Amino acid sequence: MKSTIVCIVCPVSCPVDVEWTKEDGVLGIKNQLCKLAGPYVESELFDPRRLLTTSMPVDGGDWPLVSIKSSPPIPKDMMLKAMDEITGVRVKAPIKVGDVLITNILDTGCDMVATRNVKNV
Amino acid sequence: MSGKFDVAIVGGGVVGCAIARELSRYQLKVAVLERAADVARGTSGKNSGVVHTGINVPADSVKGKYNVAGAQFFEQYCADLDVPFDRCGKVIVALGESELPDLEALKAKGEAIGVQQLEIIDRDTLKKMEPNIEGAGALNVPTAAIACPYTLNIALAESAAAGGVEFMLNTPVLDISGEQDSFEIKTPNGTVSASLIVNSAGLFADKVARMVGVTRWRIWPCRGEYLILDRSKGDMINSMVYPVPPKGGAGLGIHITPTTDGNIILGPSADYTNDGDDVRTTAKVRRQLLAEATEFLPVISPRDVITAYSGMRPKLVPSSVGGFGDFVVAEVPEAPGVMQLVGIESPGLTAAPAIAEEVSKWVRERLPVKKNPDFKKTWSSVRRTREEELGVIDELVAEDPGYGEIMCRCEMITRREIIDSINNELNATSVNAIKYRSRATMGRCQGGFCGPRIVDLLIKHGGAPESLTLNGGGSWMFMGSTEDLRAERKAERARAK
Amino acid sequence: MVDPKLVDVAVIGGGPAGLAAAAEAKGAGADRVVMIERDERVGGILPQQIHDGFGTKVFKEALTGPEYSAIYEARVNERGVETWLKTTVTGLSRDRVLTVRSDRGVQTIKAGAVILAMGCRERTRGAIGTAGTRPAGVYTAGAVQYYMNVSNLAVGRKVVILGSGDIGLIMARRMTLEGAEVVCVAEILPQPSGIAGNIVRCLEDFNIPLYLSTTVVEIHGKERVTGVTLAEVGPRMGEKKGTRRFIECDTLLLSVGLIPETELANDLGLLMSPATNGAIVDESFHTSAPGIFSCGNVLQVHDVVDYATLEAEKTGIAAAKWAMTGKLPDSKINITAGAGLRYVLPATISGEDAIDFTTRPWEEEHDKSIVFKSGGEVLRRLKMPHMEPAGMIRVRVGKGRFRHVANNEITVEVED
Repeated sequence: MKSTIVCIVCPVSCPVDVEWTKEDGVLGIKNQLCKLAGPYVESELFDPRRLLTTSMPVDGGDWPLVSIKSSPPIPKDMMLKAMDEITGVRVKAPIKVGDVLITNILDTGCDMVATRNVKNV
Repeated sequence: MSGKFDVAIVGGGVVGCAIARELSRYQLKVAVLERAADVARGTSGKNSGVVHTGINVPADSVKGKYNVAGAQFFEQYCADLDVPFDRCGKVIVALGESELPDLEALKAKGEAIGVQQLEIIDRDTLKKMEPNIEGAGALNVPTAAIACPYTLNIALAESAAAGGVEFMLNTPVLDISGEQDSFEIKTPNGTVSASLIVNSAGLFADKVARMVGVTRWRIWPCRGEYLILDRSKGDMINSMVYPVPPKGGAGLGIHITPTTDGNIILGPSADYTNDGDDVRTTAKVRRQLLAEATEFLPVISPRDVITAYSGMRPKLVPSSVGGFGDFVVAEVPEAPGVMQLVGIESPGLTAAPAIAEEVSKWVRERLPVKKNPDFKKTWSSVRRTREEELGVIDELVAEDPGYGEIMCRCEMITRREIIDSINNELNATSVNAIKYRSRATMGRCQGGFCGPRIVDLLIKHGGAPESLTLNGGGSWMFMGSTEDLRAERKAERARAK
Repeated sequence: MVDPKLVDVAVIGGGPAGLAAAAEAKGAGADRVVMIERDERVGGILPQQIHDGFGTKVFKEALTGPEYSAIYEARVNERGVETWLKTTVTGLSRDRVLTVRSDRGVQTIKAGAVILAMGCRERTRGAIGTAGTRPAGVYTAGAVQYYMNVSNLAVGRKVVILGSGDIGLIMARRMTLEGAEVVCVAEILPQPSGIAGNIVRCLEDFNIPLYLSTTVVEIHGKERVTGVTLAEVGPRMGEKKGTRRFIECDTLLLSVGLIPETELANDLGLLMSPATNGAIVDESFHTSAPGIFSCGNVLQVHDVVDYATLEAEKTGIAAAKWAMTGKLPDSKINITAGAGLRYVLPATISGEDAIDFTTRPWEEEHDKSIVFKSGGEVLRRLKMPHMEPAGMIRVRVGKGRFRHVANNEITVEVED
C-alpha cells in the first residue's frame, strides 16, 4: 500500500510517502528530512500514539492548575478516555516538574507526569 | 427593590444622572431606575462626546435653548466631576470652492444662536491648523469642545449616589399606575412608589410615556456606527474636523473627532432600525467610513482601526418624514407629575446640565426642599494616573503601591485604578463597569493582556466564575472552571454509553 | 528623582526571547543584566502553552511550554540576571535611558545596551472589523488558552474558531480535550495557516472540520454569543454571494494573527520592516539605533520557539559585547528578498561569520530551492522539498560562502 503521512515530530511537517503492508510493515519511505520520520511513520501506521497534555487542579499551590503530560505517549484512541479518568482527580502542592501524578493510567503503561513547578502557598 | 420616594427617575443616562445629581443638592428621597447593569449603557455611553456650540440647531428650538445654556457651564461642570474636557475646537471644511458659500451660511446660523469667535479661514490657514487635511477653506469654531460622555455619566451618578440618591440597577420599569403624589412603578424587583416621575428613558421614553397614558410620541431608533483609531494616530488632527456634507448627499460627510483619551473616532453613520437595542456594527458602514476617512485624511489606514461601536439616537421623526425633530422637555396635561424628556438625541450631552436645572426647578415647584449637607460639590470616580508627572506618581506609589503596577499596558492603567473601579460607588459588577471607569481593555490589544488578569482579580475578590458578566444580565463569560467543563463532558459520555 | 541607575544590558520582556537573551548577555560577561517583565511571572506565553512541541531543535526533545520555560528560568537565575517583575517600561530614549514603573514607583535606568523582546499581541475582533453584535463569548485564542490552562476557567461549551494558524489549531484540540464541542475551524485563506502536523493532531485526530476560503461575516447574540454566520470568500477575499450559513455556538475564538508589540520601537523612530512589522536589524540583531537590539516575536513572528531562543541568545551576546566594547562587526552587505520570499532576516551582514538567515515563502512550494546569489553567482543553493508560509525557514550560510559577494549585495530567492 502507498500512503502519505505527515510527520508531526517537528514543525517542518514533512509529507512522508510510505510503502507498506500489514504483514511486512514499512517497506520504504521518501521525502523525510531527518531520521525521526521513520519510527514515527511506523508507529502511526501500526500503533498510533499521542502525547496527551492537560492539567489537574491543585490544592494549596501558587498555581490553580498543574500542567501534565503522558509519559510515554498514549494510544491515540485512548485520549478522551484518559481525559475522563483524569477528571475529578485533585493533587496537592508542592509539585515538581517530573513528579508522577497518575501511575499507569488505564493500564496503558503510561504515567501522567507534571510539567510545571507548583510551590506551596 | 422598593420603597417610597419623592422623585423616581426612569433611565440612568447622562440626563437622568445629571438630574439625580441636581436633586441631591436637596434632602429629597430620589431613586434612579436603570434597566441595565450600569449607567451609561445606552445612548449616553455610545456617542461622539461632542460639546456642541449650538451651531447645528435652530436658534428658536428647545434643542437650541438647552444646548446653549449647557455649553456655557459645561467646562466647569466637568472640572467639578473630574471628567476629561478639551476645548479643541472644530473646523467645518469646504472640500471644494463650491462649498464655500455653505460656510458663510453656517457662520450666520451660528452667530444667530450666539456662538462666539466664528471665523472663515482660507486654505493656507487651514493647512497651518490641520496639516493633514486638504480643503478650500473652513469655518473655524474655536469654542467647540469634547468631553468623555461615559465618564461624565458615571461621575454624575456616583456623586448623586454618594449624596444619598438610590440607584437601582438591573431594574427595568414594567408598568406605572397611580397619579401625582402616589405613582406606583412596577419593576421585576418590586414596586417603587413616587410622588413625581422623571421620564428620561431615552430610547424607551415613548414606552414609559405610554405607561402614564401619554400616546403622542413615538421614538424612531436611528443607529450611528463609529470606528475608533489607535491612539498612536491621535495627533493626526488637532481639532474636530467635519467636511461640509457633499452635494447630492451620497456620502455620510465623515466626521473625524478626537477623544479626550487621545484616540480619533470616525463616524457616526445614520441607519433607522426597528429595534432600539439593535446596536450591531455592519460591514457596509465600516467600508463607507474607511473609504471617506482615508480620502479625507490620507495618513490613516484600515490598519489603524482598533474597534467599532454603535449608539442609537432616539429620534422623534421617522426617516420617511425626515427633517428636524426637537427635544421634548415638558410635563403634559395627560400626565401631571411626570416630567417628559423625549427625543433627547444630539445635543443631549451638552444640554444635560441645563435640562437638569430645569427639572430641578420643576421638582422644587412641587415639593418642599431643604438643602442637603451631604451634597458632593466635587467628585472623582477613579483617580487617573496616566497623564501625571513622574514625581506625582512616586508620591502616589508611596501611598499605595498599586498606583505603580501597570496592569493595562496599552492604556497605562494601574492596579489601584482597576481596584477602585471594581469597588465603585454604584456596586456595578460587570467587566464593562470596570472598563468604563478605568479605561482598561480599551487599548489596541482590547484586553488581550489585561483582561485575563482583571478576571483573576475579580475571582480573587470573591466572584464565582459563572457570575462574572461582560455587561450584566445574560452576558456570562465563563460556564465554570476547566474542571467543570471536563466533568460535564465526562458525565455526558457516561450517559451516552 | 534619583540619578539613573546604570546597567550594562537591559532586556525588555521576560518571555522566551528575553530569558534567553538575558542569560546569554550575562554569560558573555556583561556585569549587570536586568530583565524587565510587566507580568507577575516570567515565561511570556510559555506557561500557558501546556502542549508539547517546544525544544525539538535545541534539546532534540519535544517538551511542553512550561518545561521549556523552566530551563531558561533556571539559567537566568543561576547566572545572576536581575529580574524585575510587575514592571513596565513606560519610556525609552535613543540614548538608552529607560523609564520604568512598578509598585516601587518610577525609576530611570541608563543602559549600555537595550534588547527589545516584548513579543506580540493578538489581532482582535475590533481590528479585523467583524460585523454584528458585541456579546460576551468573543475571545482571542491566546486569552482562552490562559483562562483554560492557567486560571482554571472554561469560556464556553460550543466553539467556532476563526483562523487556522497554529494557535487556533492548538486551541481546537485543547477545547476538545477539556470537554467543549469545537464545531469547526474557518480559515479565510485557501490553505491552512498552521503547520501540517497540527492539522493532523489537532483537527484530524478529533474529526474537527476545517473550512478553507471561509470567514465569519457576522456575530450574533445580544448578551452572549448565540452563533456566527460563515461565508466563503473569493480570490480577493470578497464575500461570495449565496454562501452564508448560520452556525450555532456560544463561543467564537479568534486566531487571526500576531502583531509585534512595537510601541517602544515606533516611539524611537527605529527603521521598521513592513514585511515583518518588526525592526530592521543586522547580523547582531542591532537596530538602526546604536545600542538598541531586537529579537524574538517582536522582531519577527516565530512559529518555533527554539528559533526565537537561538536568535535571542545571539542577540544577548552581541548586546553584551556592545555594552562592554562598543564594537560589533560592520554589517555592510545588504540582503534582499527576491522572488517567492516574503522577507529575509537579517537585512545586513558583515560576511565575517556564518549566518542563520530566517525567511518565509509567499506561497506553499514543492521541490524548489532557496538560492543565495550575488552579482549573478550562486553563493548557496538549498533544496527545499516542501515550504509553506506558516513554517519559518532557517538557513545557515557558512562564512566561506560570502567570499564571492559582489557590490555588497546578496539576493535570496526561490528557484526551481
